[in-house]
Amino acid sequence: MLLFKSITRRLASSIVVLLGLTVVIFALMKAVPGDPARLALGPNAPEEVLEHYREVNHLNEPLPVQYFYWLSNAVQGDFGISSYTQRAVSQDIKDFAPATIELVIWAGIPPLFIALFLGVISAQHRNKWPDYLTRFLGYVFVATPTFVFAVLFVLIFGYWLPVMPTIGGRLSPQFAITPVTGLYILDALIGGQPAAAWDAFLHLLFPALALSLGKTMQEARITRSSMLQNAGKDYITMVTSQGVPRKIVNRQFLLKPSVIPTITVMGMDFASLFGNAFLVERIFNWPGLSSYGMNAILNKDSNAVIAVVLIIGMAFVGTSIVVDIVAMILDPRMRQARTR
Amino acid sequence: MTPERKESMVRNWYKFSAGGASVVGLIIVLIIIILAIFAPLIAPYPEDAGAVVKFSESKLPPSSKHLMGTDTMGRDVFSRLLFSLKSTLLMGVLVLAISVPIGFIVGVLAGYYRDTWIETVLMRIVDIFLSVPALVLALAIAAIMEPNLRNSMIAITIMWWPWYARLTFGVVSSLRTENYITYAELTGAGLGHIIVKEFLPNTIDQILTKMTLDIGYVIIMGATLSFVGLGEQPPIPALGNMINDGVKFLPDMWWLTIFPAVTIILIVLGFNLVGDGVGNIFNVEGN
Amino acid sequence: METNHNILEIKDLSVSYTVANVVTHVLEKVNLTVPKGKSIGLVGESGCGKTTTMRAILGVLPSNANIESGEILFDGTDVLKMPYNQLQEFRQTGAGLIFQDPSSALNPVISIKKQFLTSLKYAHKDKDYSSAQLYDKAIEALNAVSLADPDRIMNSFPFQLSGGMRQRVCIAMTLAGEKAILLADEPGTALDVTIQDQILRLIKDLVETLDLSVIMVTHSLGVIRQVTTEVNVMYAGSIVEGGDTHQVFEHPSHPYTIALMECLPKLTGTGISEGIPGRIPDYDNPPAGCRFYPRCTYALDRCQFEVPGKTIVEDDHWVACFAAEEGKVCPK
Repeated sequence: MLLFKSITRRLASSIVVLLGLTVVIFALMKAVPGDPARLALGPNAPEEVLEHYREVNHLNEPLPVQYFYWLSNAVQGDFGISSYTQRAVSQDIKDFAPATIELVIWAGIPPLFIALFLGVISAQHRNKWPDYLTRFLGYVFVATPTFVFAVLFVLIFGYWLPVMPTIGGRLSPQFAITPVTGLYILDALIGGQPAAAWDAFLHLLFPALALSLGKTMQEARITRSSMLQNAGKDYITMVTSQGVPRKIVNRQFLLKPSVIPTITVMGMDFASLFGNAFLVERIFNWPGLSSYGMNAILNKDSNAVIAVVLIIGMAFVGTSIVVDIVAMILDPRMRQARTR
Repeated sequence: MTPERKESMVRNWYKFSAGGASVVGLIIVLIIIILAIFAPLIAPYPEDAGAVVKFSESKLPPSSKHLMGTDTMGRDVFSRLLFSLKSTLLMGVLVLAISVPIGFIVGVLAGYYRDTWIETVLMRIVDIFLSVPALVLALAIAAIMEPNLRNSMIAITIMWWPWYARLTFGVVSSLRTENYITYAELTGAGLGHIIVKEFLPNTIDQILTKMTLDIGYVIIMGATLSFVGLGEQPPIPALGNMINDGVKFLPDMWWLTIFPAVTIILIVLGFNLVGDGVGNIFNVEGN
Repeated sequence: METNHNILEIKDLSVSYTVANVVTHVLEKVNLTVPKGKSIGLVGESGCGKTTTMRAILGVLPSNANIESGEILFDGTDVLKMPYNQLQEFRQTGAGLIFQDPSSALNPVISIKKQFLTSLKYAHKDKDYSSAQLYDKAIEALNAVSLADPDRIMNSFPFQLSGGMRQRVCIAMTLAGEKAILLADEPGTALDVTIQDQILRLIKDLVETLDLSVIMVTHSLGVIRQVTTEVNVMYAGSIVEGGDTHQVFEHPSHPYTIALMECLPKLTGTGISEGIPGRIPDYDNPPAGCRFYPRCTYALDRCQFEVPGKTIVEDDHWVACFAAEEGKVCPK
C-alpha cells in the first residue's frame, strides 16, 4: 500500500516536472533566430503562404498562448509537422522509436548483469588478475566518450577486423522482416528467420557495446567496492562464524545489501543511454529516435525537437520510478521510510 | 609552514597516493597542462593550428617528421593536437568555475528555506533540468546559438549547475535542523555568515571531490558537442572536430582519428584518477 | 576420556593488523585454556584485543589481520590449520560467537527468519531437521531469551526491532546452534542492567544444564565475578594475570588488575576512583618490555626492557610481573 502511495506521489510530481520541461524546451525553441514559417516552407515560399502558415499555427499569438495551443495538441498526441521530414512528428516518432527502444534494451539490460558479475568476480578475487583487469578496463572505459567508442569500433570492427556491417543501419538489404513488435531480432525470430535475426544482432551489437561499455565498467567498479565494504561488516562475519558456507554467504547475504546502493546508479545510467544514443545512432546510421532528434536539433526543427526531448524526458522519469520500485522491493527499509 | 600544516599535508598526500593510480593521474594531468601551456613552443609546426594548406605534405602517415601524420590539408596532426589542449582544459575548468557557485547558492537557499515555497520552486527547476540527459538539452541549447567554443561552454554550464544544487541541497537541508545552526541564528548571525561559516565548510569536501571527478565528464561533453559541430569551429583545432574530420577518411587515414581519440581518453582518465585521490583525502566515495 | 579435559586451548597466539602499511601487534603470545563445562572470563579495557581473540578462534578476523604464530586447539586439533570443510564443521558445532554490537550483527535487508534459519540449518546440519523443526528451535531460543511474540520477531527486519531486541535475537541465534563453546563478546553491554542480568543468568543456566563451555569477554569485573570460575586479565594484547576467579579477586597481584579493581565503584566507598593514568600503548610501536610499564606505579627498571614470565601466586593463580615476583606489589 505504501509502495502504491509513494508511486502515485512520484507520478504526480513527475508530471509537474515534465510540464516544466516542455515550458523550458518550448521557450528554447522559440528563441531560435529566424522565421519559423520561413524555416518550415523554404526560401521560395510567397508571403501569403507564409502568413497563412503563421495563422494556422498560431504563430502570431503571444508565446504563452502559443504554448497552450501546443500543449492541448500535444496531450492529444499531435506534435505538429516536422519541418525537416515534412511529416507529422507523431508519425516520425512511431516509425523511429522501435529502433531506439531495441538499442537501449540491449545496451541497458544485459550489461547490467555483466556489471554485477564482473563486480562480484572482482571483489572475490581482490588484488588478483581478474580484479586488476576489471579495474584497469574500468578506468579506461569510463574515460572514453561514447562517440569515441563508436568511432573506434567502426575503425576496428568495421574495417580492420571486418566483423561489423560497415554500412550501419539495422539490417542488411538482402533481408526483410515483417514488423510485429518493431524489435528486429525478436521479429525475425518470430518470423522464423534465424539468419535475419543474426544479421540484426550483428548490426545491433556494436552500437549497443559503444553505448554501454563505459557504464558497465563503472557499475562493476561500484559493485566491487560495495561488496568489499560490506564483506567486512559484522553481519557477514556473523553468518560466516555460524558456519554458513562461503558461497551461500556471498550469494544470499552479501550480494543483496551490496547491490541496493548501485541500483539507483544503474537506473540513472540506463536513463542516460537515451542521451548518448544521440551520438551512437548518428555514427552507426541507426534509424532511431535519437538520430532523428539529432537531425532535428541540427536543423532547428522545433516541433520535432520538443517532441523528442519530451519523450526522452518521459523515458527518463519513468525509468527512475521503476528504479525506485525495484529498490523498494529489495530494501525493506525503503518500504517503511516515510516518503517526503 | 607550521609543523602541523606540514604533517596534515603529508597525511593528505599519503591518502591521495594510496593505491598509486592517483599519482599516475596527477602526472598525466600535469603533463597535459604543460603541453597545453607550451604548445606554441613544443609544436613542430605551430602555423598548422590555423587555416594552412600544404598540399605537398597532405595525407602523410605517421613518420619521424610528422609523429602523428598529416591531414588532408597537409597540416601536422601532432601540432594541431597540442593546440587543441588549451581549449579542452579551459572547457573543464570554466564550466565548473561558473556552474558550481550557481549550484551551491541555489542548493543552499533551497536547503535553508526547506519546506517553504522557495524550496519547492528552486528544486522543481533543478528537477526539470535533471529530467532529461544533460547531453540532449545541451545539444539543443548549443544548436540555437552561434556554434562556437564559448556557446558550447554556456550550454554545458546551463546543464551542469543543477547537480551541484542537488548535492548542496541534500547536505544543507539535513544540517538545517542541527542545533548549532539554530544557535547561530539565535545569536543574530546573518544568512551570509551562516553560509560561509557553517554550510560551506560542511559541503566543501563533497563539492571538491565531485568537481575533480566532473572535469573529465565536462571535457567529454565538450568534445561531444565539438564532434557534432557545435563547438570550436575549424580551422581552429579541437579534439572533437578533429575526430569528426578524421571519421570521413576511415579506414585509410586512421591516424586522423586514433590520436585525438586516445588523447581524450588520456585526459579524462588523468582527471578521473586525480578525482579518486581527492575523494580519498576527504573520505568521500566517488562514483 | 578424562573428566577435566580442556575443550579449547590457545597457545602463544600472536596477531597483527596491517593498517596503511603499518603493522600493529595486537595480540602478543596469548594463552588461554577453556576446561569443558566451565565458563572462564577474559577481562580488560576496550581495545586490548579481546574481540580479536574471539574472532581468531572462529577464523573470522578482518582481511588485514595476520596470525603470526600460535595454535588454537579445539579438542586437540589446531583450528588454524583446519582445512575449509573441517573449519566449517567447527564453526557449525564447535564454537559460536555472540557479537558485541547487535545493531551491526544482523543483515539490514534480510528478514530475521531467513538469517536465523540459515544459521540453524548449518549448525544442525548433521541432525537432518525439517524446516518446521528448525523454525520451532528458533522460536524456542527466542523464548529462552525472553522475547515476547517470537513469531512476529521472526517475520521482522532488523530495523523494526529495538537495540535490546536485536541483541537478544543475536544471542538466541548463537544459543540455538547448541555449540560446544559459547564466545560471549560483552553480551548485553548495550542493554539495561536488568536485562543484562537476565542474559548473564541465562548463560549461566545454560552452562549448567547443557554442559556448555563459555568464554565471557567483558570489561566488567562484576560480570566476571558473577559468571565465571576462572579469569584472565588482558592488557594491551597480553594476558597479565590469570587463575581461579576467587583467588584472583582475593589477591590481585598484577598492578593492572589492582588498578582495575580500584576502579570498581563500591557501594560503601566515598567518591570516584582516580582511574588508571595514561592509556593503552600504541600497538605499532609497543614498549620493548612489559606493555603496562608506562602506566605502572610499581615499575622496576628491568620492566622497561624485559617481558616478565609467569609467576605462580597461589595453587591456581599466576601473574606476569617482575614487581609481583619480587614481592614489591602490595594492594592498598
